[in-house]
Amino acid sequence: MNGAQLLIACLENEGVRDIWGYPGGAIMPVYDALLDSNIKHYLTRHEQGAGFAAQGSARSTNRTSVCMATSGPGATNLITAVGDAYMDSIPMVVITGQVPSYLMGTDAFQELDVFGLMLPITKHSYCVKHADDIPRIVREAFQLAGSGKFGPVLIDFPKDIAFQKTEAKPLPATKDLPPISHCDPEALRIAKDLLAKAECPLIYAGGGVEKGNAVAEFRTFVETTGIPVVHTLHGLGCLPGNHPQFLGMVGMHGSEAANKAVQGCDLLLAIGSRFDDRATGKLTEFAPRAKAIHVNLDPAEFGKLRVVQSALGGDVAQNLVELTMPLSIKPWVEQTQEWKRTYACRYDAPFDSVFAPRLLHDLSQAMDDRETFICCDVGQHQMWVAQHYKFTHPKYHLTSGGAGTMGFGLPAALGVQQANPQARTIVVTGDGSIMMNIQELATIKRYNIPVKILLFDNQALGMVRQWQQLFFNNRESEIDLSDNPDFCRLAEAFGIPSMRVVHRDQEADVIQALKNTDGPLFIHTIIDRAANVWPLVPPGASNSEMLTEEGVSVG
Amino acid sequence: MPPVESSQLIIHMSRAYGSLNRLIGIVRQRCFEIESMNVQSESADHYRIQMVVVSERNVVHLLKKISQMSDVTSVSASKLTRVLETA
Ligand SMILES: Cc1ncc(C[n+]2csc(CCOP(=O)(O)OP(=O)(O)O)c2C)c(N)n1
Ligand SMILES: [Mg+2]
Repeated sequence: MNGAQLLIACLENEGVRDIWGYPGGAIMPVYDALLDSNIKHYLTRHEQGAGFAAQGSARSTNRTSVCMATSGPGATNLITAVGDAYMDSIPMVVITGQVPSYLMGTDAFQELDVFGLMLPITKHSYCVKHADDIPRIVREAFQLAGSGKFGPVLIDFPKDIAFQKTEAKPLPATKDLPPISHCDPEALRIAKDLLAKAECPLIYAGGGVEKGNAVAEFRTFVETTGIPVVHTLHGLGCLPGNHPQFLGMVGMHGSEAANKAVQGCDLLLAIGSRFDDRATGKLTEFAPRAKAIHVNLDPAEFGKLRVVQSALGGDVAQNLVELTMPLSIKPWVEQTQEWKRTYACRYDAPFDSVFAPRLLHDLSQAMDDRETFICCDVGQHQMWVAQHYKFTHPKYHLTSGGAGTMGFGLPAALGVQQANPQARTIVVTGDGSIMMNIQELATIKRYNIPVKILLFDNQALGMVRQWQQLFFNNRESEIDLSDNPDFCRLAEAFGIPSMRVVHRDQEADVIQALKNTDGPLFIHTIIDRAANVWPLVPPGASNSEMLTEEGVSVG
Repeated sequence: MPPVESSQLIIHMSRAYGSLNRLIGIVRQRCFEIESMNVQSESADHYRIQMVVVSERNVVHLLKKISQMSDVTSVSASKLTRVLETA
């Protein structure tokens, strides 16, 4: 066996069934070995597409996925997807070809220091020095990526090592991941005491609930205690969007009810969340009169941004089970319910064009029992999804939260659909974002992946336009996209059926088409260029200083 | 502005390929400057590193991040009082 064949054997041994990638000189021995493997390789049309497709697979299954590229430019094309995975804690093993080890350090053709480039955006990185090391490295890479706080791990693989003969064999399968630490009894005692004494407690929950496999325990905790809930972008769906205790998303584009509740609470339970600036606004004014309990798998989050009275590390689910108890907090709950009623979203926009918030809201309400994944791009449309689509579980919402990477949605959906063949997968994208990885329409066609694309075309980089309008005196700078291509003809050129939507009367048709079309579909929806995302907390301001369509709302 | 403080870290870590680069990267990325650093090879596969870092940031966070590196076996920190300009 040579090193490349051993690498493939080790991947098979780890249960890898598919790889997203793009070949080139330095990785050719691995592509040759793939021909004799059961692993299915999906060829994207850009390495970034491969990185995001692998992410889509990992995000929708919580299983470590694999992407692969050649050395130099192939590897740098992966970097955005790897950095994005790092910021959102996505388990991924990234394999890059490298020039032969005897040429490394000589500025050889397509040689770049990929190990160095990826150092700060990976959980760990390897450069394979000898073929005999491959079984250990692959095993460690998978264990690191998929344990603790998840993340991407790089394996840089020089070409001569791929050709090197070896007697080594894949390591026998084990399931012994590093144990997760147990709950801290003293911190638990303090937390229970704080809970029992609180009059206005609030749960601020994020992506760590789902990643910690704790959604069921979370829901029991919420319903038993009766505490109102606000979610971060990645927390959406932990409590179903229609649940009475859910007050909405918190932070920059959070709901008024959610932000008011944060400002008014006397005990904040941060569960699987990390006080990100998009959620907290001005940190010193976030939940200003509250004591805080922080439940998070990662102890490095404790005290990073907020000093808390009780820090509960280790297994999130187990901590929540320990904390579950009935509370009597009726006046506070009624107050939050009143805010929720007062500030409920309105969908009765007066104009004739499609109103994206209404369409997204109605789409989620029209969904049946079939699993439906929504893959967002980045911009206003992403925030409208977060605000108005009622998620029933966090795993159905794929969004680039930490990095906010335009171009994420379409390739991520490929990975989702392939890993969940029975599910429905919908990309919600903007006219800016879709062009960042438009080439992946060819991948949809090639593998006949039945992804639906809902493009909201406002002929602009809408989110940037909105900030220029609000914070730069309406001086529009380089946001105009009025010369967009004809998106329907573009989709058709890739062999994908398309539909054009211009009037609000067509919103119901869009929903039917998204629900009931079997194959891929591209829906080009024209919306008002001037539409904004409301409410909005200006960057750096306190969450009590929300701007709304009508003006400033004082929290 | 919080005061600038210096701390001494003692780190025992693997000599795996790139481990020192990873360590230095984490120190920089978490907004600490390295004032001095002494690397000894404790054994064929382990380093003992003595490093003085300065920052306005709380060293506890850096400590936790370093302890989470898969290369690191142990890390400890002690605050140093800096003798400044005794003119
Ligand atoms: C790769 C990348 N480049 C730039 C940005 C900055 N950015 C954030 S939102 C946005 C506009 C997105 O435009 P579009 O996809 O049309 O969405 P819209 O806001 O119009 O809904 C830009 C440029 C980004 N997030 N990602
Ligand atoms: Mg746009």
